Formats: sequence, C-alpha cells, structure tokens
Amino acid sequence: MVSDLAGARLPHIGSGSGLFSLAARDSERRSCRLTTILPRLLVPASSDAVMTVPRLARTGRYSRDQPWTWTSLCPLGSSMSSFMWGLRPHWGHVGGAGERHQCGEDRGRRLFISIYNDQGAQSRVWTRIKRRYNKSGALERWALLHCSAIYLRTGSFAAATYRSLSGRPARRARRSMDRRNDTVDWVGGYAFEVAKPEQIFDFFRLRGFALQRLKTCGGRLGCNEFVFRRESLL
Amino acid sequence: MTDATAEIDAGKRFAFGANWTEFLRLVDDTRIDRATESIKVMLTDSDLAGRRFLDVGSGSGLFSLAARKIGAEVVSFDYDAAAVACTAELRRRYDPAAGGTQWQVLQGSALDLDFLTSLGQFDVVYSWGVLHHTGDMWAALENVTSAVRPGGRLFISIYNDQGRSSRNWRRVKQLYNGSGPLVRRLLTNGARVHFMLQSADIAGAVYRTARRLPRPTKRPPRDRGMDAERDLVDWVGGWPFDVAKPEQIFEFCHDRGFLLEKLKTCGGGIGCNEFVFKLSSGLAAAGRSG
Repeated sequence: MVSDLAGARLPHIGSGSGLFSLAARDSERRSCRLTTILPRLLVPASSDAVMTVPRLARTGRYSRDQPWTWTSLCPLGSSMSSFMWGLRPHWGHVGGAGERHQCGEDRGRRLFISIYNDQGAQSRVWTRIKRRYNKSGALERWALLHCSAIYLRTGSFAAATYRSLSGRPARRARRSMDRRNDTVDWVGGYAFEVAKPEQIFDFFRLRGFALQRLKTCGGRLGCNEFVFRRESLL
Repeated sequence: MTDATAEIDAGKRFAFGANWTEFLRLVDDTRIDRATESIKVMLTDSDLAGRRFLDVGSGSGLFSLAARKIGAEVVSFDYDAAAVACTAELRRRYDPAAGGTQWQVLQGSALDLDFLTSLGQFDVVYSWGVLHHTGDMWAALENVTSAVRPGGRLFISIYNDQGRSSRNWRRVKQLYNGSGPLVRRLLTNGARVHFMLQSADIAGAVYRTARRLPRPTKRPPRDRGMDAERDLVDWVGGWPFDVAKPEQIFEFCHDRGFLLEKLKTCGGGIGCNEFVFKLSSGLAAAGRSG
C-alpha cells in the first residue's frame, strides 16, 4: 500500500501489542510521528465496552500515561492517517465509534480499519460464547477456550491436509500474529460486533470517504479490511 | 449458425438463451416491478430519463425493460441468439412504442471490443451475472469499462470466489455441458437437494425447538423478479464459469479510474457480489487520452 510514511502522523487506535505501531515506525525510522491511542480512553465509560483492555493493561502491555479522550481526536491535526485493526468491534458500538473517529480525518488522508465479518447465525452464536467467557471463572474459560480452539482448528487442519495432499504450498501465517493469542482474543473478545463489508462501506461513504483498498475474509470467520481516503468534508 | 450456437452444440457453452425462453413465460407485472426496484435501489436513482443505458448480456430482457420503465434509452445485446429473441419479444410485448430508437436489441459479444466501441458511450452500463460466463471475464470487464462515459456508472455483478467450492462447481458445470439429458437431470436434481439441505437450517431448527422459539416467517419473494427454478438450472449449467473475490473486482475498476458507489456482497456464499462504480471524469480523461 505505502512503503514510506516519512513525516506522516499515524494514530494507531487500539495498539494492542504495539506490533503494528512498531511496523509503522520501522517502515520509516526517520520522521513518522506515531501516536498510540488507548481504546479504554476513547470510549464512553461503559462497564462492558472494553472488557479485554483492563486485563491487558494489568499485564503492562498498555501504557495509560496518555490522557486521550475521543474528543481529543479532533485536535490531533489535519495531516493524519489512522490505523485501526480489529478494534472497533470491541468498543460496544461500531457505528458510534466510527462516527467519533472520523472527526480527526482530513481531506486526502487515509483510514485503515478492519472489522469482524458478519456471518449471520454463526456470529450470534459466537456473541453468546464471548459473553459467557467474560462472565465465567477460570475453569469455564479454560473449557470454552479449548472447545473453541478444537472447533476453529478442525477446519484449518482439514484445509492444511487437503493442501498437502494436493501438492499446494502451505499457507503463510498472516500479519505475524500468534495462533494462541489470536484464539484467546477471539473467544474472549467482548464487546463484540460484526458488519458486512457493504455496511462499513456505506457508513464511511456517507461521511465523505472513498474506498481505496478492500480485502475480505471470503465470508468466513475473520476481519474484512478497508483503506478509505477522505474525499470531501460533508 | 452463430458462434454461440456452435459452442452450445460442442458442449462448450450453456444454452443460457433456452433457459431465458422458459423464464419468459413467467414474466408479469410483479416481476417487472421488482426488477425495476432493484435497479432504482442500486443506482440510487429513480429516473433515467434522457440517459443511455447499455444492458450487456440482456438475457430475458427483463432489466432492459426495467430501465425503459424509468425512462432510459436502452441498447441491449446478448451473445446467445435465443436470448436476443427473448429480449426482442419482451420489447414487443411491453414496450412496442420504443421501436429501434429508444430500445435497440442486438446480437454481440462483450469480448468484441470493436462491437462495443461501435455502440458509443453510455451513462449506465449494466451487466448482471454475465461477464463471468464469457470465457474471459477480465477481458470482458476491460471492454465494458470502455463503454462508460466519464461521470457514468458501471453496474456489474460477478460470481463470488469461494475457493475450493467454486472449483468443485466448475467441475459440475463442465460435466453438465459435456453430458446428455439424463446426467444433466441428475446433476440438476442433485444440486436441488444440496441447496435444500443447505437452506433447511437443520441446526437452526433444532435450536429453535429446544428454546421453543417461533418458526421463521415465510421467505420473502425472490430478489430482482427472478425465478428459483430457472436460477437453479442457470447455476448448474452456467458455463463458461469464472469467479472473483470482491476485492479483485474493486481493484480492477479502481485502477481504471472508477470509484465504488455501492457494494452488495453475498456474504461469502454462493452467488454474485454486486458493484456500482462511477467513472471519475478527471481520471477518465487522463487515463483514456494516454
């Protein structure tokens, strides 16, 4: 997409491990001014809106020393691109989060987001599992996690076997993530919302953004990725 | 004998026109209204008066008629002679006053750039579920983009790429077109059972029974005024057959100066993803002069 972010300001919203903030820094070690924004401080105070974040914060993976609020996004400046991967569904209100975020966007700047795909009935079942997980104790969490892992990996095991038997090359791991952490994030990730690609597209198009890049997950479990560019101020 | 007829006889092409001829018996005002509504919704425009509308692969002609209903000046063409006859018949039945000036019906191929160029440029180029049946989808898509005038719109739908499932269906379609009537009937009925089991939602029914939830309401009528039986035959036999992921179509058109205006995916399942693109005036001028 871009190989040079020199001079760019890139707020990484929901930085998680920080890996992609680091990637953005590494892509241009010189003058990329990078801001990581903590999702906890971006959402309205809601008991269950960001359940996974305090837990991660306790492990020291998040720093709480930056007093950002969502209203402070606007003064971030006029030369900003944003990066938000798989976060917005966990804010408890996808539409509202997008609405608040776009105030910081200026014409010509880009927004890179990924949102969980809406799989209909399957997504509703996963919502129940996630809610259950977050209300449960350690034993039930362990059970939910392992049952889910078996379910999730049966398909990928079958696919890997098929690829191996048919002489196709094995799939490479995407985005350098860790399978175990991804499973924990998936089963526990609550609040949880999903959207079809066209819903995200329509949402941002109505707000003056034009789609630049699209990557869908083929209707399966996972995130659809979008890069939008602000075309006009509506 | 046209090229399409020769290809059908050689088992290299499905007789789409024959299927549309069957469909023609079912066309009524309700289906025409649904077809018209589907165009209005996707184009977010209820009036095409004074605008040129190109229906690439007109099939039954239902959507050409729908465009006429909202005032467009229509040019329809299809590669299959039987489909051309269907469109002409629909024009005779529902829009006899249009004649050959307001609604032209022609035979031609989306792969024939000279033919497309001879038609001029259009405000709306419409091709629903057609380009993936040409045998060279990307060349066909390239050709139809050239028929969109700067500022005009391209409304296309292309089969979704389901990976292995699409490859399996490709084999079924190949077998169908290379077979006699008995195997064709077997394949069609096999597909019917497959789709019935898929839509039966057995897990959902068990869940609803266990939770004593009410049964879902009756399914809404089929989109776009189409018919389930004709769609099934079209799906099983539809050959040549290409597929694409939504992002592949998006990137192809985006690289050619088109901005996506409307998107409708089929949720990763069997079916078509629909796109409405608008050709950016500035980019078109720059791109086409070079």
